[in-house]
Amino acid sequence: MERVKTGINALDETIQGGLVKGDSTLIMGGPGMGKTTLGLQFIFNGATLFGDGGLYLTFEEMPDRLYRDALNFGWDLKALEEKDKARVICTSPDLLFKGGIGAVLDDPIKEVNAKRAVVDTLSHLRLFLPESKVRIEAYRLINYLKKKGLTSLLLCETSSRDGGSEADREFSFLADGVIQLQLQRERGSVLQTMTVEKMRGTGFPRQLSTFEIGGHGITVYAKPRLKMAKETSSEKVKTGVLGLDKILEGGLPKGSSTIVSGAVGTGKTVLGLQFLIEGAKLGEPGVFISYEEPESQLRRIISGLNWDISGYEKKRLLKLDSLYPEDLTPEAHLLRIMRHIEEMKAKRLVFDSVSAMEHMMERDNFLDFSKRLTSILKNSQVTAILNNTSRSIGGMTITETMLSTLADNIIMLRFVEIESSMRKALIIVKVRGSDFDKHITEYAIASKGLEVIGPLEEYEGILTGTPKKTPSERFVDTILKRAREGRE
Amino acid sequence: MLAESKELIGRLLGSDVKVELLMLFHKNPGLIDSPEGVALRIGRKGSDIEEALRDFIDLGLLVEKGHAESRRISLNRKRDREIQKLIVKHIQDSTLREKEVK
Repeated sequence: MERVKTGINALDETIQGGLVKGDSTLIMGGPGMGKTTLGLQFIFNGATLFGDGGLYLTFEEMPDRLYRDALNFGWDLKALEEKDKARVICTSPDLLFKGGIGAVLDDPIKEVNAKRAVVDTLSHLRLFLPESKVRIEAYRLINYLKKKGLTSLLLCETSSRDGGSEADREFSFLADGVIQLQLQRERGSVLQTMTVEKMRGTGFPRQLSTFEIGGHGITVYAKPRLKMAKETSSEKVKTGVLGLDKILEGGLPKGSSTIVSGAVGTGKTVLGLQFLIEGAKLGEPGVFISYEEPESQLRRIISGLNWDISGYEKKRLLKLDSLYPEDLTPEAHLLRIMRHIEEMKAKRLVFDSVSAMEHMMERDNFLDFSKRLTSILKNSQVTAILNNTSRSIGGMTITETMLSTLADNIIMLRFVEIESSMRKALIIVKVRGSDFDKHITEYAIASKGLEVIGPLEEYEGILTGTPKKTPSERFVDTILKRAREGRE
Repeated sequence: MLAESKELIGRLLGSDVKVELLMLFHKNPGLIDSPEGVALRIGRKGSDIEEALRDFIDLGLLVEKGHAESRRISLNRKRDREIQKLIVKHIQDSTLREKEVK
């Protein structure tokens, strides 16, 4: 089946290489959703990337407005018109149907040898035609475009930004394909989503892709496909914290994902940086992705610990990347991580933090995001630390519970109050496929990073944050106290 | 030649309506509409623009097709390019002549 590429890569990939040649696809969306941008991009890409002449038929917007809007994205439609590669035709539906579609469109189609067309918008037929004639005239127009061999996008304005009424959907029965553009609100952030609802002769995933309208038009971010990792390794990767590697019996399993969970100030970021610097020393490139601290803050932490990373950065053994979770769509974040891994040939990655990402997503979407993230990391054989800022001192948070099924290993960092002083303890909860020391271990953040002090054997209830001495330790204390009193 | 193009410019810019129509079709070369539709797009009535339309059709700048309800007006892109070239040449020649006189 011959395909006509839109030139929007992720969209073309989603629909098996492009639109079916000669088919009509309905683009449904509310006002401001990017239908016209998509249409203009389809025509511009067609002419400049694939040598296809294009016809843009508009019933409302005057061509000069379209030229201006297209130029904002760097698409010079007027220049294409001068080279007879495109025609922007503005007319009224009334005239089109009274005079005959061919009488109006035959010449422009011939002049540019058009292979693709956009109708902006099909909904305008309702303004000029009685309801009983809307469907038949839409059918006539679609058939005319097919007869001329044009692959077309039929833009359709829906009454709302998040779906559309039954009347809006009427045209979807006439078209060969339907793509819906919608807004999805999630915890204060708004995502633009694109869903392929129908595409004759084409297999496509029934899932939302997000998209953005940027300086170069529409960029679609399809969800990276979930793949089971083929290889598992028994090799260990040193964390850069000697005592921790000892507890882990050599380090973290190569290619595994580790949740490091702890409250603010427990040293998650320091541990993550230490892990990457150790990698850089061993010639293993690593990426630190921060959603919580700006790059300048990360650099302050690094210089505060007397680490010099400039050499590693020059040799492309270490990369710091800071951005807000809201800066990109979840899919765009995943694609950015994939690109970092590819460009750096990364073997290690720190994601700081999953909890920052969780704030912008609904529970199910967050779980989906986490699944895809761990799938990407595993398939790239990247050993990763996924930091999680915990709000609880004892027990596991919902995030930890959700992620524990996906992560191979879990390390908890906890503040503990012992004899009126605040100390820190780490607990290895899980290491997939490997043995580890199950003691609760005290650690500190020293002048050169995280250092393991030793097991807190004489206390119990450490996870509650207020440990007590064990009965045997209390017994020893009592004996010693009595002995001291006796001596006195 | 100069007199001929001077006369052409005079016809093209002969009235406010003509200037508005020229601007409309220059900015929107793909406009195909009924006379009433064209008038609507420059905020005028069909009867206001009929005379100007007729003159532009005579000049070959605009094309009229269909009749009655299907009557439609569009720009003749080829003729438009020719006229634009003539105007540019006229301006260049006039500038040159002014310099020579000085």
